[in-house]
Amino acid sequence: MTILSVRQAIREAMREELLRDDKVFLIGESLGPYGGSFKLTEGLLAEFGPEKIMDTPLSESAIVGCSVGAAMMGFRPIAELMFADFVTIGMDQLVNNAAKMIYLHDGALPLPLVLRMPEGGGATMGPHHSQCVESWILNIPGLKIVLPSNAHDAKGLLKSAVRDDNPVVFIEHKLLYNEKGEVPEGEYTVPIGKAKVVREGKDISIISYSYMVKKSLEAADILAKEGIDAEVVDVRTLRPLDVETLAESVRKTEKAVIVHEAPVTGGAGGEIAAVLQEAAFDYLDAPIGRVGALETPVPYSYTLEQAYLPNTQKIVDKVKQLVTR
Amino acid sequence: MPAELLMPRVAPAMQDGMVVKWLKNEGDKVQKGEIVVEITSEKASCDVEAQADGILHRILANPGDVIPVNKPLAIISLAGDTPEELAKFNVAKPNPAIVVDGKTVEVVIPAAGPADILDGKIKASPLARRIAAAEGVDLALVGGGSGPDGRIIKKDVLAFLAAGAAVKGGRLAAVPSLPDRRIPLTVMRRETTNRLRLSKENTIPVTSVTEIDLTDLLDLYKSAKGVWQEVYDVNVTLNAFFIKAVAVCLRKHDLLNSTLAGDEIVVRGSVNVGLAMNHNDQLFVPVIRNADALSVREIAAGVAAYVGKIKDNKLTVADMSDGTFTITNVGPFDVQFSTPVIAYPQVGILGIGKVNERPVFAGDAIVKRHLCYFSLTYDHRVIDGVPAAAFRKSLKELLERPLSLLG
Amino acid sequence: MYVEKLNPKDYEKLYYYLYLTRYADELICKNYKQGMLQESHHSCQGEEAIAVGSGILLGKDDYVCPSLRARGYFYLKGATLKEMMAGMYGKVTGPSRGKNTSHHMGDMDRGIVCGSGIIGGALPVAVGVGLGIKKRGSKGVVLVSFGDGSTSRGDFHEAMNLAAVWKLPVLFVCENNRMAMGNTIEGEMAIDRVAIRADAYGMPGVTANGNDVLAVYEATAAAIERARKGGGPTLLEFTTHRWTGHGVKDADAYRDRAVVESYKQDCPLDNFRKVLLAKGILKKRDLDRIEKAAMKEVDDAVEYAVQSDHPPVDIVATNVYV
Repeated sequence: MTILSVRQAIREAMREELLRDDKVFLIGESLGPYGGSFKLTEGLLAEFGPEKIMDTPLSESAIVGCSVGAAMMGFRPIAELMFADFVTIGMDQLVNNAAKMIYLHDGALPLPLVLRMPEGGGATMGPHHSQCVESWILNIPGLKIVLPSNAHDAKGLLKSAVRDDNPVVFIEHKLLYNEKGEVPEGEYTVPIGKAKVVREGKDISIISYSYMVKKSLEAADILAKEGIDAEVVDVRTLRPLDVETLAESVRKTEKAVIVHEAPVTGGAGGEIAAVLQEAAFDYLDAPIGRVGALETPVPYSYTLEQAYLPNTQKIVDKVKQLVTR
Repeated sequence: MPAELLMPRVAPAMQDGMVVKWLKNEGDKVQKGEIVVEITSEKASCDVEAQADGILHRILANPGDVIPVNKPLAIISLAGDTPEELAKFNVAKPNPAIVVDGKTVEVVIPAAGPADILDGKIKASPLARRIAAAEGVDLALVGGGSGPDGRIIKKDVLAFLAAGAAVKGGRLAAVPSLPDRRIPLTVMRRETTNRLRLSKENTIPVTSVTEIDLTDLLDLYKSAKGVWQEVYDVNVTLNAFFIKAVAVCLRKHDLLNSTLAGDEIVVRGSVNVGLAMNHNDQLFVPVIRNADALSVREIAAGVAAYVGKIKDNKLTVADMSDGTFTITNVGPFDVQFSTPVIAYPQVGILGIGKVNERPVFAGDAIVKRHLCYFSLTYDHRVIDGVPAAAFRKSLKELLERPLSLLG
Repeated sequence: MYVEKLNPKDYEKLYYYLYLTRYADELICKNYKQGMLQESHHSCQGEEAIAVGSGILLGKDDYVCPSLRARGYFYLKGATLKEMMAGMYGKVTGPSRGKNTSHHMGDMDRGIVCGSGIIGGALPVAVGVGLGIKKRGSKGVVLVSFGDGSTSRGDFHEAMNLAAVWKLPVLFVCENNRMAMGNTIEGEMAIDRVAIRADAYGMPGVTANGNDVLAVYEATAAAIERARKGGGPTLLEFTTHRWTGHGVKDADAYRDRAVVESYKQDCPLDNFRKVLLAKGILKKRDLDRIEKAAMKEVDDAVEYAVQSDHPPVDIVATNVYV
């Protein structure tokens, strides 16, 4: 085991995949000498050269579209958007080309493409650099959506994403980049489509992903002192969603709250709640709760942004509403 | 201007009526002459028609609400009404009112406690339902749940099962439950319910019991009854004597003839004694006004008149208003003594029990006497034990020397 | 002059595909109006020379991403008339068993890049194909075809710019019929020629007569040679006219009939026939023979399409992922 930050873990994953498969290359804005907007690709240009670490103009549509074309040619691009918010500009390419290409070829054409993007607030970066975008993408069949919460999963899931023959949207939370965690030395992958129980409990299932897993674990610690034994489940992949692992947890605890940083309305939590009530209706002893951001743009100033974001206390409060002692 | 749909007066003495059923919903079109709501009063039931073409904008009273005559039941918006005009009527439904001392007093009803039934459906989690179904538990019997908003959750069903297991030593037998029977409250029942609840919430009742020897009163009553019937055509009852005695004592111990209003005790000028009567399982409390100034015979005539009205269904709300003290005679129902509930905002009520033949010492001899328990319930906020005892003592003296009542 | 190297067989082939494209289009329009087809058709009548004159230059290592109105490319890159026509009829024998339309069909094995229903949306993808060609070290090129309307889209800018910056072997072929659905070119852009936009990206921009199949051939051949030598992309603008409404459901009521009829005096087939006969390259009887063969291929394809089955419902949720 070695201790790596999420940033280091992602960089290692990309480096190992670049070494392993000649078809892999990186494409995005300021990846080379600059090292990427959050320094994810720092040092890779020197090791792999400009053929593999490709800097583009500020052209998100071209980044995504060009990656689609290269993937159709048998390459395995790892494209980076500087901020997840910028996916709006690449959205046509993502929705109308990347997501549909396999189906439009009736499965005859693989489309091995990874689109990485950092999302999320908490860094006073304002309304255009802090949004959570996963639910915008969740309504598009054809795209896998992965959101790691820690260094181990980030590395293992990214390696799986690069090796996947389907387009994978790999969403990183910028507040996780400096979070350190244990990572096995040597080769390993984490399968896409498998959720994980990260803390066992019997009173309620807190279902979360990305940065909010950390907040959910903090909430579980506080709840434990008050006699509520919360289980925390890390969804890890929104599509395909591991319904069985989530439902199994809820069948055990009989209650669930879904926590994500995106606003509640139209968020992935609604989808998860819907599949859970279908899969575990007769096991539910309380309504399924949701915790998310307020229904506003992401405010810039620290105090406003903190009020906007979900946090440990909001999770604790919601759980206490649902668990009657 | 929007039009108010008012509680109509369908009988001369009608003071209020109860909403039975709305035939239209908010937002429905209504035509002039179209029936909008059914109401009932103790006098009569009737349909209330729209007085103009328009839209039922806002319903102000729910079924079961008692609304005074000429107070609005609903607002009907007419063609040309502006949003501003309509907004004025976007008011909360009024709280029910009661009449105290001739004045209308608004009653604030506290929010309902945990409810286990929502729109006629039992509130229970899916898991609780599944366990209940598997175990043959009728959720209606589980009662209010411990989940949010009274929802029955798993642990409530398990607790219910455990209780059943303790009683029966095993799983609850799957005895089929009979469906509940629902009886709509009549206006009178609803009034009674409200008044009892008000008494419970607003008084601190204490009951003490005194034994009074009615042997002499019974002798007097028997001798007077025939004569008064023949000569004055008056059917006297023992209650007339009790009312007279109580009225006299109330004049003397007038704290018991008072009411508590804010930070003062209002001692009532008149002594108006209500007498609880039962007819067809309904409770009526007609009031003998200024009973202290009336003779026993006049009181008897008044009681007899009320009995006739009750039988003819002609007793009015006015006949039952303005009481300052109440008597309830439960002796005929084979009750030794009772702990009657004060008719708030009164502060006292006298319960009269069964008259018993008892051996009693007269000096060293044992004689047969007719004894009866009198229970006085009084509001301890207004009356302490000593003045209450003084009242009972006066009452005992009067009833044990009944000729004084004919003075 | 590249055209000087054309031999009689090449001329026959050019005429065959010009005629086949025209005949198939006329039949498709007729059958669509009779309610026999499912696919919304955008007629290429009057514009056939662009796809045929440029598409004939593409070899097996080359790729093409045709626009919705550029049918000739498909036929020249090996998509059979039968599968295309079955696609028009929505049959299981059509492209991707009915999951894709025929006018956006893709088959990388035959060098056909799947198009996008979003005008201009295919351009960045074609740039990616160009990047793939370069990464492979192949001498191939990718030709992406689009109309003048696409050049107003941001994707046109992003794709042109990136292809130029990376010197990718991409041919941007603009079929300028001076109409973007119901808007005329004056309402689309403040310039008269699309090709001058190329200057802004640092690539050559060439305008040629799109109704002269040999002019199209000549301009395309030069751009391809340049791209194969690593010279990067070219913007080729071929001027032409739209003879019909935007789509087969469009009655085209917003245009002056006399003007539209005048376009038909500049028919790419007639233009080419005159050259062939005047220069004695082909005889009238050769043309008749070629036309008959083309008509047979199309008629057989329609028969095939009509006889084919509709897709079975149970495939609908298959192959969303590989």
